[in-house]
Amino acid sequence: MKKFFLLAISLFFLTGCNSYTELNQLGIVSLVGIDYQEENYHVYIYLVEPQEETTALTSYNAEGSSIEEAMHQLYLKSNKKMYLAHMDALVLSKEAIDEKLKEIVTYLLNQREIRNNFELMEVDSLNKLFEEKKGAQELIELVHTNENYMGTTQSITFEKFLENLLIDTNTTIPLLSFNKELKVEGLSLIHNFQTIDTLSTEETILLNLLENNLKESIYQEITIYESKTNLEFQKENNLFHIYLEVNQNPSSFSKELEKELRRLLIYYEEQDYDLIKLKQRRKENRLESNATQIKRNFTFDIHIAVRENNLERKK
Amino acid sequence: MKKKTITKFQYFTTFFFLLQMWIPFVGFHSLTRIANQDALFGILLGTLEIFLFSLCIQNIDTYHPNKTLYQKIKDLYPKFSYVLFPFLFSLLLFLLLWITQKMSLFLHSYLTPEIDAFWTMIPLFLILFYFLQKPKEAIFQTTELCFYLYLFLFLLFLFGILPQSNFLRIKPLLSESPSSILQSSFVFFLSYPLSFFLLLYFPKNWLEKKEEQEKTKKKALFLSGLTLFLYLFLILSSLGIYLTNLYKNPLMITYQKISFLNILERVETTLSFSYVLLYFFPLVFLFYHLTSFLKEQFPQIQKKEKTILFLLLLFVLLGSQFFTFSSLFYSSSNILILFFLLFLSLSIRFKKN
Repeated sequence: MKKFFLLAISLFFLTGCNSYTELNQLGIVSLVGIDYQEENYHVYIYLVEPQEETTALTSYNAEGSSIEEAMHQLYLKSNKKMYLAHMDALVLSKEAIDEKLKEIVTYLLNQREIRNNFELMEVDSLNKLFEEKKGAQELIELVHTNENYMGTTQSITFEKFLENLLIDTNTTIPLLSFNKELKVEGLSLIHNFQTIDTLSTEETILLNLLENNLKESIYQEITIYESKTNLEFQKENNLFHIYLEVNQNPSSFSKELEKELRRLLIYYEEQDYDLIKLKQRRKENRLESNATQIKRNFTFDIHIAVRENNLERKK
Repeated sequence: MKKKTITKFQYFTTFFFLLQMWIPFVGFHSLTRIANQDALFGILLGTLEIFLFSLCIQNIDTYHPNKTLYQKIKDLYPKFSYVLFPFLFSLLLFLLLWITQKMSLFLHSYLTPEIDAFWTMIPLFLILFYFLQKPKEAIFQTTELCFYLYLFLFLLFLFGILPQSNFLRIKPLLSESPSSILQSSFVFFLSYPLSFFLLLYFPKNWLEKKEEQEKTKKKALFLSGLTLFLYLFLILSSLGIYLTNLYKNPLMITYQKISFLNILERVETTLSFSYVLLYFFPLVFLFYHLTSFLKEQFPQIQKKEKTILFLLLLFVLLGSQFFTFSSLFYSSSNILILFFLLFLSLSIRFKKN
């Protein structure tokens, strides 16, 4: 009897009815956009709403002096409980990054529901993007396709973004524009929670090449079939060994490419922006032991070996 | 006839759980913030320090093997026991309040954010009320059963996180100064005296194979050290040192990353049950300590055992809602227990001589 009594009492506490939410009362957020204009946050969201046979995307937007206030305003407009655990992507405007990135990151870190594997992007006109109902999957696929088949951008998850910012305050974020249609524009370079520059799609290909992330691409009308880059750390120097397989003019392409790579590396070294995270990578390879050494500028050398693709040669 | 002793394996699993309570009470971030990736060596060195400490206090177990810890204390310091006992009782009571508060915070933050933690703690305390009335054998059998569950959850974590791990993230190793590694090992070691204190209560004679007690303790110590090392190794290889230092509970963030073949995801709620076990057993043993202590010191309350237990549980449940503790409470309590155990061990040595 005593056991039954204890069990019966426990059951009242174990049902979980207290926090029960019907599925159709749950607004699953797939995409969030944050803009900052005239000292106000503009927050846009896409809710995935299950219909009878399909799912529909409904967009909402609101503004407020803080993200919390803007989110509160969104609640007033939506009849669903917003659920951020399935968020796939976060798009930010340049203004939001430049002025409020630290606050946005803090807000996201404090959200228990959010996971750190959603993707980040910068889009120039958020309102147009949400008016045109471009879903998170569409944006993610655009970035991934460009990254994998052209090397014109680099995708980044929130976790990687955070890690990069914490390591050396430098990170990149895919840059998209939406004038008439949605388009990849390269990368936005962020330093110390602010955008400092942008890389065009061609410059992003060079960056991917240096980081050994380039699978295939077309650079200055030359098709790159294969590429491989090894970075050799020497005591006072960084040596890039680049192997490429292209469709035509290997020797002239090699010279042109080396010139462009040098230009890119020298430019950002002069700007004191560690574009390919050399300092961190040297530290990981135990080449630097203290801060003074890390601050020192390094020289670099590039060795490029280009060969024509066999099929092209047969032609 | 039913055996009324504790088996070697049950003793092993009990000590293992008491050692593993370091994860929720102190946590990996306390080591990585001192020594970054080299906290891995801090764990290894700290395990060695704990091993040496266990050798130092080994004679407490062998001294009057049929007596409980409090009987031994009374035997050694008959005059001082009137001062020592209230002090120890209060310390353990405050530790109970601290653990209850920490557990309710954990449940509220990670498992049931929409329910007030007080209501979640009520069924748990009802279970404790039922459980603590059982004989000691039942408690030890439960640790044995829960050990298999804990092991299963650990293996699930291990195989789930391996595809997400990048061992290069652990580089550069040995980049911190030896003093940081040593400091992290001390932080690790100084959180363990409570585990030894809770285990020491049980007289050696309660064990089925008394002669293998020390060997069993060493095995538990080794396995616990290895598990903690693997945990930190996998956290660092999946999050990297910067994110590990950013979060107060990096293990829970690592749980979120687990995915089995991109099909089975969001298993953190299931895996965090291992956390619940690590909160539950210290609570059980602390309550067991306190109730046994009261029964030993005041034999007249034997008949009112249930009422005393109920009042104690009620006090802890309600008290945990009102007390606030300093962040140094747990470490300072452990340091006090450390000195007390060393003093006890020395007293036994002198008495024998």
